[in-house]
Amino acid sequence: MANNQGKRQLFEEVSASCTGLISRIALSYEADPALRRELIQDILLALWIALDNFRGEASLKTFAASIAQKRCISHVTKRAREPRQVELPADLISASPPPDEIALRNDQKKRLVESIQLLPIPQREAIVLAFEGFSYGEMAEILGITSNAVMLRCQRAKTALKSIMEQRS
Amino acid sequence: MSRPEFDEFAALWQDGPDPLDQAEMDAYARKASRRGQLLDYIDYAVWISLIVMFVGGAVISHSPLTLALAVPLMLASTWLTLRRRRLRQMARTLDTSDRGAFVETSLRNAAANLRRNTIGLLLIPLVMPMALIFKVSIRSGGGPQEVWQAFLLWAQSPRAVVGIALLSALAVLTLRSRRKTKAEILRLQGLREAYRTETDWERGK
Repeated sequence: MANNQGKRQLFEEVSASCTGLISRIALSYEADPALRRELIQDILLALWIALDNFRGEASLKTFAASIAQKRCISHVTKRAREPRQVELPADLISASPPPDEIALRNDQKKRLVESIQLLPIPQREAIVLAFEGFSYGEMAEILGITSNAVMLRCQRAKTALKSIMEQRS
Repeated sequence: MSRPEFDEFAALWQDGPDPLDQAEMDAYARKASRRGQLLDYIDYAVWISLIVMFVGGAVISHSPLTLALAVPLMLASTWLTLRRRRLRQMARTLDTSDRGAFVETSLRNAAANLRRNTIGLLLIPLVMPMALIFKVSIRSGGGPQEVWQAFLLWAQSPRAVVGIALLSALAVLTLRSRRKTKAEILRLQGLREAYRTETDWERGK
């Protein structure tokens, strides 16, 4: 078990290097910004508690992604009621006044995020990890399935995502 | 989805500043570590306060009735503290090997919550009067007759009305929590089905 000082250092490392990963995973499960902030805080607290069990067998990034995915799934199942469709902000990428190209990219990203949020959870977690650049081996570790199964699931998720995006365009 | 399409989507997914900025995330991280440490301290502080209260009450009153109530109340608070800590650690970290185990663990946790709610609903009319008699017995000296008289006096006081109102509110909250837990169980069962469908497909069924 990591001692308190070591745990604090590990936690600082995770919170410094996995910020984007954690907030993007949360984004794939929660469209409401206020609820997403709560979810991110919940993930960070879970990471703090879980670091007691971190043995260094996997990378910190894999460990953080695994905890974040599970907390997000738990968040979705614990919702008080089914979510209403929250309109994502148009400036999801850039807060500065967007020229045409940026506006187009913002729109694409918005459509991508909304489509990911519509995927069934098993496919959603696979595609998000793939977009985050995890290898099949790392994804297999996070999802607790074989690399072969990860490959097949990613394939299905890609097909489903493309079809949702086509329907929405 | 072709490889270039996938790469384009991946770049789009990771593009731009994060949905939350680094300063905000740092603040959340600091808050999380403070909360984590605080949760540990609170558990022990509450448990120690309860034990001190029960032991103190028994010592002050010198009554067999107070002592008889203090012992089970001390045991119950010790058991509840340990149990709550374990449940919270499991519920927070959800440290499982695969998604099947994760969903099963979550289902078990939800079922345990439902049981706890049910027990809570049953215990409110049982434990609360016990705790009340314990309190009255400390003041009145501990004899059954005196306790009964003091209890009747208390029952006519405005504090009794407030106490009963609070208990009713607690019961309503427990009922709400029960309904929420039942909905959670239904969603988890749906999720278990979704994972099974994926697994079956991957196995070529």
